[in-house]
Amino acid sequence: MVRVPSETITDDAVLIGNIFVSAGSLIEKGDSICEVETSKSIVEIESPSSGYIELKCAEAQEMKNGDILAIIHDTMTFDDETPKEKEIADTAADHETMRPSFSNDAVALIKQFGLSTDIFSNRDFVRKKDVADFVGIDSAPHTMGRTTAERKEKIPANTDIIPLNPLKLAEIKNLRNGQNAITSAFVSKIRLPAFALENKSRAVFKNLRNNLTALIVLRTDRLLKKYKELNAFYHSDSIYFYKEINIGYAIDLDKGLKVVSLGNVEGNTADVINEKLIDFVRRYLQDEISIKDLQGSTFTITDVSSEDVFCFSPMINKFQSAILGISSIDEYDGSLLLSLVFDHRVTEGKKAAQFLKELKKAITEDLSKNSESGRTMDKS
Amino acid sequence: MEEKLKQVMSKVFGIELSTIHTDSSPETIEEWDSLKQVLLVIALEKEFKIKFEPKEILHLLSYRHIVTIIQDKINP
Repeated sequence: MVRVPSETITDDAVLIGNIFVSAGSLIEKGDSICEVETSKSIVEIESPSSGYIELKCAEAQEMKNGDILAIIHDTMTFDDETPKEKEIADTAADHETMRPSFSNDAVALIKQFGLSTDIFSNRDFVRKKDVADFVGIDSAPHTMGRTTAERKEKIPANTDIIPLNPLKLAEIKNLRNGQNAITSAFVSKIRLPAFALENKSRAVFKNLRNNLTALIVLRTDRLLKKYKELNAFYHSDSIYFYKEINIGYAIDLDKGLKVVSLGNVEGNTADVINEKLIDFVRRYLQDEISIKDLQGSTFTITDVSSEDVFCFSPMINKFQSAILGISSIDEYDGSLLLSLVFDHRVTEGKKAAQFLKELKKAITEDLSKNSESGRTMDKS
Repeated sequence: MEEKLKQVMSKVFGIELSTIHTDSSPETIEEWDSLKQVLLVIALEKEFKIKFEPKEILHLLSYRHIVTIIQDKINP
């Protein structure tokens, strides 16, 4: 049994915060089950053992010190929400094999996100919360997108309420980590090469902008090998360093913000990076971005250079410790700004400043090597 | 085919048909940037029922070149 830990919490009552697991799911020893909010702090409760979890608490519920939060079972035999038997009509049915049962709400969410039912083949039944957890959004309408503190607030009257769509909710959940981070934003100015300043034609700037993102991706990838803290994240008083570098690129072209994973770019040329970016943009515009495309990034680059934005402070994504923003080219000044926002819990300002300084130097050198035709470096 | 191509380009870039000619490129059409390039590709694929490889998209940087590529794809 998992209880509100009376040995570490002195309050008589606590408030349940985020619940990180879905009822009935198989969890490992050490997995975070939920948060409990005390008068002094938010405590994360970890599972003492592996098994199927039966939740005995709900988000925003007040519980007494020592109350049971969850029970870990060896098998999934306990009673839980009874699903409605529902076949997914447009998937190929193999009636001779065991298939999970899906609740109506789970079916609707699966169809909405274009998921395959095979994802849940290891379950006996699938509820809306199970699908929502997989996608990374909260499923309970009354708690969607709201923190514990927000739920306790009195909502001002005389307002129109427009529920957020699932994509936006997923974005909020991913960005919520940034609210817990202790961040600073460092900004560095990159001056364009002399030929661009002498010949301030739109074609020159266009060409530079098209190639600049690829150069920044390549140089960032290289520097993250040295500045490992920027390829890591904070969690439960520890720093988790990613074993690999996988740069995420944020795309928002009026179909919602999506951060696609560029994968391993070591050894890629700028042209190859450009091809990847163009392919992702094309698939984004045609609604062909899959869940897999959105998973696994360890560091994010966000490029608003086409939006005439001089300078901005992007937000760090979930399970990351930094994000790099690319602003628009100032055609009169002949420069652009790079903004690095980082989590102080993971790295110090001096290291972040050094990273940015080295990135600026590398990009400036790359740009200076360009001919007037705007050819980029051939090898990263 | 070229007439269709010009109509697609006119729609994607939001420019008059008469401003598109054989020397058109990102250098001569201000609206022709990397995003519009992708939108152009999507529109051309739909119009001509062809498919561009990512490598090809990167180099579709002039009217002449686009005509050549489309002709090659329509008449392989």
